[in-house]
Amino acid sequence: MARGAHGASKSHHSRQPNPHRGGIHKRSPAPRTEKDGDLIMDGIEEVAGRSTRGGRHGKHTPRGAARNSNINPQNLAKAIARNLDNTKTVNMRDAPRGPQRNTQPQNRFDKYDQIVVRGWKDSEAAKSADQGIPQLIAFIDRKASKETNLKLIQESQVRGDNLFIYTKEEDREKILRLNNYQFARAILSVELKREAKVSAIDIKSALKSMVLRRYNETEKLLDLSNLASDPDLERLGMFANQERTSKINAAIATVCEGIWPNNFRRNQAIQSLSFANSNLTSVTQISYFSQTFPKIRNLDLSNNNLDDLKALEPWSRKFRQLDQLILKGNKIETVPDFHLEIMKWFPKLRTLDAVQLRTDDQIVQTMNKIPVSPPIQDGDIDIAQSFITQFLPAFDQNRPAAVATFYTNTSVFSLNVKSRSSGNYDKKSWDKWLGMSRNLKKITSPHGQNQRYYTGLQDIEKCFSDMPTIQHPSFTEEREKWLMECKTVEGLPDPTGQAPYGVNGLVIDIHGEFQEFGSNNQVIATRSFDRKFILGPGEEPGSIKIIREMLTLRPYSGTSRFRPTISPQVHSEPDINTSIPEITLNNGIDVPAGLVVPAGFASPITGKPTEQLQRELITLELCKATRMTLEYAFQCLQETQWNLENAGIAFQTNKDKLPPNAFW
Amino acid sequence: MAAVLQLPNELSQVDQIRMSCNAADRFVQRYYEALSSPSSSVEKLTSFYAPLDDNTNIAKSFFGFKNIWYNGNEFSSPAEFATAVKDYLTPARYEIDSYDCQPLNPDLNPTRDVVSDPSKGGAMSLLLSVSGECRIGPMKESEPMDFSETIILVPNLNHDRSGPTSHSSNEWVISSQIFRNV
Repeated sequence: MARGAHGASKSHHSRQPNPHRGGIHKRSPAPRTEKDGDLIMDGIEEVAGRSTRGGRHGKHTPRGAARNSNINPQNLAKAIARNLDNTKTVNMRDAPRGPQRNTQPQNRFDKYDQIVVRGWKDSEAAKSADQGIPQLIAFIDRKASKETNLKLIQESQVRGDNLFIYTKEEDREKILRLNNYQFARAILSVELKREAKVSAIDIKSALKSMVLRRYNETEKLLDLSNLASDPDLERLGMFANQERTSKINAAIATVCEGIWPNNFRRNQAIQSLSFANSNLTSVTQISYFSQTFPKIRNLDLSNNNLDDLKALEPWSRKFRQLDQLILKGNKIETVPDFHLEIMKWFPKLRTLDAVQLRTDDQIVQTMNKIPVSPPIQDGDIDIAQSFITQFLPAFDQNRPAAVATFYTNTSVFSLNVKSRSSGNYDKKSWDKWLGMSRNLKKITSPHGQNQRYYTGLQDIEKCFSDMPTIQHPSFTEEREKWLMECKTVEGLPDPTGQAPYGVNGLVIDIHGEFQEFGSNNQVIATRSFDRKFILGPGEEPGSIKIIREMLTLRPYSGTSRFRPTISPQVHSEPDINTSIPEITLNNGIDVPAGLVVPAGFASPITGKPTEQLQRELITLELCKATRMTLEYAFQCLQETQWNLENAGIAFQTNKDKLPPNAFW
Repeated sequence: MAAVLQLPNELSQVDQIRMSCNAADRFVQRYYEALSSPSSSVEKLTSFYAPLDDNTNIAKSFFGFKNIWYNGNEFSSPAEFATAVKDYLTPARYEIDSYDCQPLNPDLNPTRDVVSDPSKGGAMSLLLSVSGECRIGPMKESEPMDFSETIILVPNLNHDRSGPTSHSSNEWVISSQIFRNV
């Protein structure tokens, strides 16, 4: 039941009599619910070989999968390709068959003629759940053959008020004779339907000739703009509504796969696609092209009805090689900063509407890696800061007091030792820690796992007392040695048991270092660590406690891996330009010579929060306008709440007080 | 193990610990293998993450995806991150040196409107810490870098816990992830 996917019911004759129907043969009872009855559109789906209903493109019908329908898209593709090679006009009927010919007829339209029966909807039988179709077919078989058990109808299909029946040519006349016969008090109309016979083939050849006519080999461009007024398609009466647009586009994509039958040939043949002037409201209407041509470099979507980012979002993870995108003539261009989002979507996008977004260098940069960005601090940052600044000194100086202050009877603590770092094993002895290490890669017995799971005040205090003495650098005064990130976490157990869905807390991740002291109070090692806290409300109202904690100890590795380096150290005499420039697409990421910025700065890079990007762009503008270094510009903007104009005024007021190294 | 815990569901603390360790073993093995395999599809990588937060159902939202922070860059959907993995973090090789896991909330769904039988761990969230070494890029050009990540795992509502242990889907999936090279 291949057609089940698009809701049509198609009956295949069974030669077995069905006892429940009094000699009527079993047929598909599912009536088609929608009154589409459109042969042309059905042909389109056959050409497409894809279900286009419900907007869930390509999800249900495997692409190119063999279907029990009239056209096998793969065979079609091969046939067209073969004809292309011979630069002949394609005639589908003459297309050579491959050796892998099915036992199924390759093209039932060749073998059977289609007869359409109407008028049966008025019959008494049509009122039943199966619309009386089994009775009708049995009736036709019986009357046409004049025998009780001979089957003339090979297949049948209901579409709206029409029953299409397929029969062998020699039986055709017998059935056509039943025109004006009475069936269950209704007068039947029985006619030969020639349109159906030609529809799928006509559409294919029309689409193919259209695709070839619109293909520019020199430019490697497939121009599918303005399809609605294409003479070939207009003749076929397409583009009546948006659903059809999707279907036709799916069919065109399939025809393209036939003309250029593999990825390599398609990539060679076509680097640019144009869907300009196509009344598109969303790229879902042309979604198949992203599968057919995933590697195109240029895409023209100008003069459509793409109103917002959502209209383009389905392609945000397609076309990874896209170099040029044209969106002019769409309302999407009125969305503030829409280009920043689009740059994030397409990492190699160089130009948008003929405006350069990225230079070659920047493309190389963004393609090579995700940058190391400053820590993200989300949620209650003040709590995180004050917790860390209080907890660490307490842990270093008085662990029992720290336990009493920060932990509860349901807190859990565990630690694990990662003795290898960057390919090297640390020589410094980990003996004092390994007895506590709950590295699940090594501690595989439930007993060991339980033993090293410290829960409650006593357990945790005992564990802490077994640890060597350590000393952290100051979190406030030696901040460069630390990295802290924090975020809100939902659904923690509520210690009071009152909130059914749990309570909110804070995840805090810190990365840093400490010195470890030996028995003689000498520093024996500097180690790095990662410490993960989950903070949540304690039992006493307003208190904040450590709910869970995990500590990873590892050989000292410094801070270079997590530090986003900003080191603008170029000095020059200030050349002050006081005008406040506008941020435009063009100069947004144009870094002047002499100004030092970190890699990827002010570039829309995958994963960079939009707010951060906007701040980077504003900072860059201020740097350019005032010749202040990045650091000073950043500070100035922070003090003026990221208002560029106020920052300019503040600069004018204070510029004489700035040291020479504030400028580049 | 001196402290006495009030557990809101049928799982004892020992059960919770055993279950969380087993979950961590399986998850760590499968997840980093997928990240290390150049043939892992975006769909495959996405399957390690919880579905996008369903904010129409409060209980269900606790089983949803929150976000991924990768070296200070935020990814707001699993597919976005998986695409970035294919774009920027492939080929890659991950070697795990150490990991640890604790039950976070033993019962995310005390009202039973999402998970009916929590005794198989189907309502438990987990805190997972993983440390290891990764190489991004072709072997010859890449240098090993340590990483540390903090992951909150939630039960995969689409995983059938009642049947025999299935290897076709992940029992626990990532709700929140913080990755840092260190």
